[in-house]
Amino acid sequence: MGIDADTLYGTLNLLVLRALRDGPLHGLAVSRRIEAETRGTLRVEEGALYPALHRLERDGLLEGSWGRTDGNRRAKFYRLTRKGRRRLERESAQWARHAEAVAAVLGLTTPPGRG
Amino acid sequence: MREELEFHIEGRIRELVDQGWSEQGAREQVLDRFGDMEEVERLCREYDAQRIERDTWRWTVDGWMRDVRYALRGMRRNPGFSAVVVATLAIGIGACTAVFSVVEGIILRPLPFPEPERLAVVWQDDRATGTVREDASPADYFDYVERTRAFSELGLVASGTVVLTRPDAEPLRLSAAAVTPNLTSVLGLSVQLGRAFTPEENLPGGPGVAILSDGMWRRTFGADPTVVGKVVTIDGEPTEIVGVLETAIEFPSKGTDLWTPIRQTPAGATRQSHWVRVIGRLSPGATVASAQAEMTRIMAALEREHPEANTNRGAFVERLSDVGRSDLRRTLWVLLGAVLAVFLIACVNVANLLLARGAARAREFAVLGALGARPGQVRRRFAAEGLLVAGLSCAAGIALAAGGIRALTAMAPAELLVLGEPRLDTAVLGFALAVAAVVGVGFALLPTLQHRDRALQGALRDGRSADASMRMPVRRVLVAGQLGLAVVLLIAAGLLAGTLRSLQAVDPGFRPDNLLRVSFALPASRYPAMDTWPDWQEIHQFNRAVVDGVSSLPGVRSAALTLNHPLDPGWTNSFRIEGRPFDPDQGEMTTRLVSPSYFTTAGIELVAGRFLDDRDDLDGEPAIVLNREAARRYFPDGDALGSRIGFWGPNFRRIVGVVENERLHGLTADAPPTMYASLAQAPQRGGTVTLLVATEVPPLSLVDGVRRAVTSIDRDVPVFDVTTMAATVREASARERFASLVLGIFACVAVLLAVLGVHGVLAYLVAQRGREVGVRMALGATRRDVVRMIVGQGALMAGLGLTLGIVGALSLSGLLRGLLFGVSSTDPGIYAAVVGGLGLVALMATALPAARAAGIDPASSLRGE
Repeated sequence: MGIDADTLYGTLNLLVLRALRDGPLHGLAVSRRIEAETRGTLRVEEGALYPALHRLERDGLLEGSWGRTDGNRRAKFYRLTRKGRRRLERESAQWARHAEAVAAVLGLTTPPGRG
Repeated sequence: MREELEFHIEGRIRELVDQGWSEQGAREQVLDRFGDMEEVERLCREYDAQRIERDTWRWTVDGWMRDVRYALRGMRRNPGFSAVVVATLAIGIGACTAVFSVVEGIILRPLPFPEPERLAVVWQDDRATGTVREDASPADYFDYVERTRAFSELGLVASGTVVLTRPDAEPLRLSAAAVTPNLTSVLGLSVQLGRAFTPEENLPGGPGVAILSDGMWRRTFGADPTVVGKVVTIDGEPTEIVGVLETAIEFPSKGTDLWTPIRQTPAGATRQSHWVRVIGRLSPGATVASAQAEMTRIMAALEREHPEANTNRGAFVERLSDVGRSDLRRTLWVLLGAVLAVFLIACVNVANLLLARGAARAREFAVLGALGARPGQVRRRFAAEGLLVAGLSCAAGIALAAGGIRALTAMAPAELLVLGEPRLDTAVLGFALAVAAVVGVGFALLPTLQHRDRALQGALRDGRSADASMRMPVRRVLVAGQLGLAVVLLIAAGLLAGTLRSLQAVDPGFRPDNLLRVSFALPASRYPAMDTWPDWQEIHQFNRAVVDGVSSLPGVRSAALTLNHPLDPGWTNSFRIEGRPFDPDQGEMTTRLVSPSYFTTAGIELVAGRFLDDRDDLDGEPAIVLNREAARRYFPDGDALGSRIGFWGPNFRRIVGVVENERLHGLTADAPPTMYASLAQAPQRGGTVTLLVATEVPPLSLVDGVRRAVTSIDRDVPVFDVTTMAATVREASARERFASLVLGIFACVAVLLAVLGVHGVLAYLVAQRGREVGVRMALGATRRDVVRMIVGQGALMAGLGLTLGIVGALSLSGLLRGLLFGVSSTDPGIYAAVVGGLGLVALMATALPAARAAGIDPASSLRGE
């Protein structure tokens, strides 16, 4: 199947990219979105979130800019760049294949239509 | 950064407070969950710094790309202008690069040996005859080896020809070099196959062995890897091939096919005959100068020890890389200087064009500035234009240079190409890039220099070019400089053309028209070379048969044999005159061995007595004929005829005739004293014989017949070097022809460009000062006054330019002196013609702008622009 661990993007990175897929968010909103989407199963180390955001920005996957929140407070918003969106799509697909492979190895089959 | 994290912390605290936590408890909880705040902040700052660094770089690149795209758009908007600029520069760069490739290939490229600067030739010179660069005698060589400290090793090489006979193919005449076994180590060469010669193989009577050059191995043996050990027949002797030299090495000259051992030992070495070239590798620490001093001492000692052979002989040590190049160097540097001058003229024209357009673009600058562009950004925009122009011209120039190199190679004399082939290698490409870079930087800076702040504001205020009048003096001086360079080039070309004319007017002393020249070589095996009288019957029979056979061909007027054709310097012999004491300071005489028909065939006229004829054979009294120079110098009382001269052993030969001087050392040198003896009365050592055929039809149409006539006598005799004497004469002035042709082309281009420059500046002047002209005319100036003003401006520029040119040409005339013949380097006629002609042309270039100025309508020009 050809996946080795090195090709898998960091889980946190992937979750951050995914959290931003519907539009720009600030850091706090990103961490809330991740918590909500993983239904609490994956708790993000908040200390790790910001370095991840800044690294993704450095790599050109995110673009940051200062803006106003609904409550009119200054906050830094992050937006997926085109490059970031492409990366998200590719990594998601790879993750899915990887998960399937691991499930098969462990004898866990996911019945179609569920999960 | 801190603000971002603070926002996060505050948000989380509010969440917890909303869930009922105390403010204090919530803060502790959040901070605890967050982890090491300092570390997080440090990491984030690090990533930010990296991002900013990368973005700055990308902005710069993006900015340049944008400016280059902008410049490209600008060029497309103005295709005519851009094409002129790029084409002018491309031609300039191409021409410079092509000429540089010749200089690089012949002068600058190092010889293909390790540490080539330590290799030198030890020539001999002769104070009596004034000759330099003579070969040494083998005995002198062995004394050098014994006494030298300046050279770590000395070797010998002597060029000649051999004949390779093959059972199933035509005989091949090969260019061979006889060498000492140590020559490979002197030169630092290795063999790619087999081995070098052993000392035993160098002994007289040693085995027949040969080392092939790489070229010969590929051409004749199809790069056969098993060639070593094969036995071939060379000059009739079985010869074993023991090695193949390194790739691409042909020594001592391009086209050398093989090496054989020179077979000289101190015991049997002669001191009388000078036929070996001494090649040495300098010891560590020794220089050419120190080697020269040492060899001069050694030769002085040898002169004392062997006065019979070494009187008047000295040493001349020349770096191997200079051999054959010392005369060419000047020609090539002059050509490179000339092409750089043409390029400079082209650059001035382009600069003038850019300045003119730049003035028109003053508004563009002003607008950019007013819109808030920083000076740096404005500069970058124009720098991008300059670099784009330079890049395009460079690419086109290199393509043109490739063609130029082919053209130059086709025009260049053979003597030049033997020394090194011009090609587009890295050094030449580097030169092209360097020239383009200088041009690019220059043109990138030009607009910025032109538009300084003052000009910017002025342009914006009144919407007109603030530059024009301000910078005109600079442009006029540039154009005058252009004219000056054109004058220098034109004078140089004129002097070289005069040289060529003088050369063509030289009477060589023989008639080269309708004279075919071919060479053949007699294999030594069947034509033994005996030095003893009169044992060379086989050779004489062959010679007679060839002359008779060729003479009877239809279309042939006469045929003759000689060992050295006209314009071939040949060799000299010492001699004594019967009844006089031997005079060691009399020098030597050039000796020519010819068949009796030589004089009538070559068209050499009789001055007194008779030509050699068939009486002068083995049964007759030994006879010689002198040239007029020999008779004048050695028999000033007119008593040459009937006197007797001795050379080669005890016999004296009677002088039976005196003939006109035939030039031997090129066209420019007077004929040296020369004596002619009949081949029928002289020993002939195999080797190459030249056959001259005077024809009634175009000479080359008879080549096949002549070749058949020779091979019908002996099919193993190869015929080669087929040419005409007319071509030989042309070749003798090939370097001058090449230099004057190339310089002539450059001079024409220079004049054209300079005249365009004059015209361009004046036309621009008229365009810019139309309003002023209008005012003057409105104030009562006549059209005549206006024309006078414009022509006056032109005359001023032309006068300045011509003066600069004459001063330049006079101060550079010393450089040309060595290249000229029959023309003084300050020939007033040529100077006057160039100045007059160019002055007239420059004035004509003012006519069009002047006419346009005279046509200006004062009313409309005053109403506004």
